[in-house]
Amino acid sequence: MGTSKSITRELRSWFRLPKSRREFLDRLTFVFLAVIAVIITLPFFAIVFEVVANGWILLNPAFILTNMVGFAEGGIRNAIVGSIELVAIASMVAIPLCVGAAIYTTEYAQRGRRRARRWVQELNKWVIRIVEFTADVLAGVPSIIFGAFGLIFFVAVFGRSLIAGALTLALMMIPTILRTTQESLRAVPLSLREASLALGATTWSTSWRVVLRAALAGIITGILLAIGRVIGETAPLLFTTGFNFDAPWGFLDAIASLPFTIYLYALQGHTEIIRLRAYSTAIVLIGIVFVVDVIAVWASKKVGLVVRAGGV
Amino acid sequence: MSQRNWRKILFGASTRDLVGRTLLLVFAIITSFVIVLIFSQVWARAFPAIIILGPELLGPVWDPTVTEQYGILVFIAGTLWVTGLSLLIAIPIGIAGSLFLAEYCPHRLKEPLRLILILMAGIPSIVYGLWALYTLVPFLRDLISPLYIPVWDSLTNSFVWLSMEWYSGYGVLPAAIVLAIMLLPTIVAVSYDSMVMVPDTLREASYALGASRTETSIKVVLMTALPGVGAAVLLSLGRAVGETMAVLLVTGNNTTFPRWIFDQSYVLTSVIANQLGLAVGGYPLMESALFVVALVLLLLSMFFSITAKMVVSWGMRKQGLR
Amino acid sequence: MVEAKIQVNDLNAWYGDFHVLKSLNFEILPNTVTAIMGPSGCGKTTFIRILNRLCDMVPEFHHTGEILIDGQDVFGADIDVYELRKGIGFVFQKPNPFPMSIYDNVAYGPKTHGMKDINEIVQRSLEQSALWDEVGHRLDEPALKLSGGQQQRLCLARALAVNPGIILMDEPVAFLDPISAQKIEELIMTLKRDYTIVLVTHNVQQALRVSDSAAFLYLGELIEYGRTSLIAETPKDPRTEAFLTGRFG
Repeated sequence: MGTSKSITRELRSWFRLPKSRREFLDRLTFVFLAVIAVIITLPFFAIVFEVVANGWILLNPAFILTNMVGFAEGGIRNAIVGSIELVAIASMVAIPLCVGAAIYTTEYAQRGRRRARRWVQELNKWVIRIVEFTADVLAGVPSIIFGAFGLIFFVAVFGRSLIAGALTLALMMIPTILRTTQESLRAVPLSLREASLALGATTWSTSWRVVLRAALAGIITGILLAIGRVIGETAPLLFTTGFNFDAPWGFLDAIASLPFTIYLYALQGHTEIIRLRAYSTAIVLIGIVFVVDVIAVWASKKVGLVVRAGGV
Repeated sequence: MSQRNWRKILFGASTRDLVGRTLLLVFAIITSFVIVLIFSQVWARAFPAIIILGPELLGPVWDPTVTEQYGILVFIAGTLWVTGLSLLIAIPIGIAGSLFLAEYCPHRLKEPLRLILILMAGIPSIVYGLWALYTLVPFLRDLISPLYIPVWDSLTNSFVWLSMEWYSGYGVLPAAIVLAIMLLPTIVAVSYDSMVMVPDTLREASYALGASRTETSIKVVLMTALPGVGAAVLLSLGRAVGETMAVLLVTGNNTTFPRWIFDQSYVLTSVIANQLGLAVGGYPLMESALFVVALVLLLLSMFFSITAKMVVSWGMRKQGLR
Repeated sequence: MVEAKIQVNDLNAWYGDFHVLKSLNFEILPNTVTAIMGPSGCGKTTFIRILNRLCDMVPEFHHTGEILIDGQDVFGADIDVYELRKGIGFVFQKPNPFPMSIYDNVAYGPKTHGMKDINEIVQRSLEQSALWDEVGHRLDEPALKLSGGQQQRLCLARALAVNPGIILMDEPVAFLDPISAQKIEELIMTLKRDYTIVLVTHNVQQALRVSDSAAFLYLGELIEYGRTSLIAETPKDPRTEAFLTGRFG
């Protein structure tokens, strides 16, 4: 952004003595805050370094492709496949639900009901408010509560299983997918909808054929964000999935997952082999999360959706 | 009015539209209903313990299996210590960091820094916990133990009740540190967003009056962004209270009250994680008491979510924007 | 002979490679109102922002030549830019009061510079900008609740509070209704007794009403400069005449 001339001028001004108390204060503050910025980013590098340095030792194709054999042998294939299964099923439940709900709030409740009676309009406004409010509150619920709920609600019916864990995860994905889908839909210009409606299409087909298509990139970004978040969650799975040294596809089978595996390793004690295996699992996990996050961030830039570090 | 007209007015022209709309409305209702469902289930499971145990729940001893005492006060104290310390660390540093990012950071560094923050936020909590367990705890143990004995002996003369023989490295301190690290991205990101929304023309007005960049950042930018920053703080408070895995591995899980940051603690989320599995089906009263803990957590998180929104509204009203 | 308050000597300015001001030479006498006029893009806003070095905020800005205020070059090596800005008040095109109370807005400058007797300063400044009668009894109200015209007068009071010698105004009434605009113009006439005022405007009638001298800029060059009434009646350059008669704006 600065030309080479302005950078040298900037550097030169640094070496001149400050002319006043204010200038001195400014420089001091800059240095102080820069140091703080370094302090903030340092743990990131420390943690990534620690994980990678310890984890890559055991990392090889065999590790990824073999199932666990007890806690000291084998690979982590069951955990990887398990995580994929859990997230896949959770997404299949959460995505239609949230996209549908979001479309209702932006296409039906918000627009074009001017012909409807007053009370219907008021009702619609309340529907939107309630959907958004409950989603925001749900976003703040601790993950362990989802786990506890899953235990008494889903496990009671299905036992500790893939489906129980997946449904619990699906609940956690709701706030993220719902809100980002809403934002993406709202970002679609009104003129697109009006053009479709003017051609005689119904709101139903307009929503799916026109609006959704236009908002698709943003919606996918939101889904990726939710996936990235949920694939690393342990607490909701603690009581709902059981554990499995293999990776079956049965809905009612217990299933392993990457975060749960790491947790179990952490509980096994401080021997070197356990530590290395835990870190290797962690590398795979954060590798997947980073890839998903980076794709989501890149996609969000293309689409103009705001990705915040604290969630959306 | 005829049947057809009613339908037209309320629901739109085609049947497919009507069916589709109803289906989507059902979806919308389901998503709204989830929080209600969760809350009601937690409440329903907690209710027996509240009725049967009453004020005993606030007792200081948690020992459901042997002496059958169900006091959750230890966990409340543990959570207060851990989250209190973590916020004490994270909030000043986080706000300073966001100020740097918004007002002082050279343009070329901004995007890389923000990417790092996003990646930090993406690291799963169990990995933070792993790092805290394998790296942070030994580090603290080795750092503090040698200082312990000499400092200790002089302290215990005046604070006999703080006496301890050695420092395990586990406890409030590592949990608070790793929690603070996990909260920083959120605090920085949300505060940064609020600061960036402050219009440039306000900064120019301040500079035109002869204020320095520091004075402008604090007196104009930070002050104007304060409602957003306040919301960031409250949201982090909610997340700190609800964080499970990272804290679980390093906090010691000892059912005694922490006296200071070098003591072990047991937080609300950890006791649920550790004991709910065994309680369900086997020990109904213990299960119910644990759901009281869950209820406390749920109420706290809802409180912080709602208060965060209120802070933003209040702040905007005070500034005259609403 | 009266010494010039502001003297512009061979000023050239660039944004990166774009040559925005070309060899400006003129002077502004104390206690006068000078109008800087010209069509959009002629550099008048850039010029006025150089005077109090707001241009420093733009990274690709650089210049040659000098601007002397009270004999000292604004870009001098030993100039404290903050003291400089304290001595120059600036009123922006769109009113930009801080989202604080009315009192805090006016008190911001004095407090920053450690001035004493803030209450008196606030009252005096609000009286000078003809706002005291309207808001004196409700100083704790948020400034953003005021009307556009009141907000602009507040910004003027805020600028006056630090006791500048020069006041710069960048099209101050562009966003205001005619009545508020008139009030501000009346204020300018009163204020020139104590301050030197430089006013950017593209409204020729306003310049005639309010200013003593005028400078006409076109594409970064100073085309004409002199007494406003003289230029308006007998413009020397055809471009000036075209602008005055509204052939471009």
